[in-house]
Amino acid sequence: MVLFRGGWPAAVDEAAAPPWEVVAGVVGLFALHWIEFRLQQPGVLGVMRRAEGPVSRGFLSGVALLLILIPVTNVNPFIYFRF
Amino acid sequence: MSFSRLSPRVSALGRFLFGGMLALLVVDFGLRLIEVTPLWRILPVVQPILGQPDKDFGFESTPGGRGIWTTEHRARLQLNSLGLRDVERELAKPAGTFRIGLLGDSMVEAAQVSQQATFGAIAERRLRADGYNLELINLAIAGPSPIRQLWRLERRGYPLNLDLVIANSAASSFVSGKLLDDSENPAYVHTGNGQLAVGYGFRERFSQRHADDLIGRLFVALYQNSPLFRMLYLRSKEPLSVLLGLPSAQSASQRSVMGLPPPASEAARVACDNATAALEPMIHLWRDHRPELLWAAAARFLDDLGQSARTHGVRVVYAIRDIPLPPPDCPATSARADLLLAMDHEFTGRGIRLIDWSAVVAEVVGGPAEIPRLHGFGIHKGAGHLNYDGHRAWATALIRVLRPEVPLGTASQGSASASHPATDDTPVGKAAKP
Repeated sequence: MVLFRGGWPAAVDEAAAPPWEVVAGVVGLFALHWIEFRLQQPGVLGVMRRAEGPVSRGFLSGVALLLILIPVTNVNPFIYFRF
Repeated sequence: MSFSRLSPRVSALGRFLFGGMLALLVVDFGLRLIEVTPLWRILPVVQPILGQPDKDFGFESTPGGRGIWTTEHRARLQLNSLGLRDVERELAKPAGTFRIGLLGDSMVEAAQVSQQATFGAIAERRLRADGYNLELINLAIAGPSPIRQLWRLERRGYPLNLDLVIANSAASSFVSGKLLDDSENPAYVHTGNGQLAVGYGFRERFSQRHADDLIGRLFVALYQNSPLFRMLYLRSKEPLSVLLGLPSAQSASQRSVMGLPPPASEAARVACDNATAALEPMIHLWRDHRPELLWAAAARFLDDLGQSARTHGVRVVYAIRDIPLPPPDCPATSARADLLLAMDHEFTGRGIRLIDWSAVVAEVVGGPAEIPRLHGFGIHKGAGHLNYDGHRAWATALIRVLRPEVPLGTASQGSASASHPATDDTPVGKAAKP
């Protein structure tokens, strides 16, 4: 359990993320879950059907291929971004 | 041109390729967005290539280059306008300032940590806080050959009007044969008549032959400015096993770090055996001057460095690191002392002061057994480049080396009791960032 009764902890080192970045990161992660939830709504299917075609296929194929090629360099055991 | 005028198949293919191009642009934009926002700390980024082919140097850093370093540990990288991994410096030396150049390889360049956390920057801040009016300029560039340091000094160091140079090399770099390998940067090559000459074999490389033409310049511009192109280029150079993420692709160094240490009862004997084996080629080189060609290259390098420094009126201190430190009662201890005596003779004879860097660092951190924890990050702690603890320890060691070298006149009176910044005063035994 993390408590901040004594205020923010002192920075571990000069390159450590400032508190606002940590807070923004946590908020961003929850935002990703919210976006994922929104994309699973039935209305999104309709949008995808309208956009279906060679352009969208080329786009999605390209994105999928490039995402695979993005190097995995993060050695931290962080579960969210194991591409 | 409109796709509707073409046959349906060609039109569909064109649209598909257009979609693919769109994907390239979107991913490139996404990678740029990650780099300029705090997302770089957690999301995938593409490591920068902060240099370009150079006809004289092999590979030279690009002034103003920037990016996120990802190997071992993430850190923002920013080269200054002089192409140095340092803060902005005036080319003209400020009046009354003692200028020190830090030469070295990737260990000194320290791409794994922020610039402010490098040992050179920490030492500069501490010494300035003590009233010394000096500048510690990081001239280091990655690459294992000591000759790169000499070239770097001549090209980037002397124009800064240095007073003192502190070079730092691994002891193994003198016995590895890199001084004789001109496939990547200038090196000493055997001319056949028993003489050595500076060779530029790297100029035959494809990248060098096209360094000045349109294709070469375009290629460099693309990999320096487009993270997507850089990613595709770096990926194209990887073996297939790495691309597919097969277990065999795991590097030997990673495996060695993850391997189990020997039992405590055996640790001293294993350490002694390892030190003895590692010292052997060094003793052959520095004391016995064998192999002949390797010694000729090492001696020529020291001659050139000493001569170059004398010509420019700069003092040189050479810190050799990683001369194995055997445990007490190990027979290799006396062999190490012999080695240092021989090395000191060769360096001092050329007007260069030799520093047994690992011994100085070991003294700072409380013994050789503490040195491994200064290297590596996270699950790879114990091997690799310096971590935050390592830079703090090296800064303390550097200050010890520098104090007798820096004239008292550069320290303003009455300021010797000035306090150090709190972040730099953290004892080296404190936990570093994981």
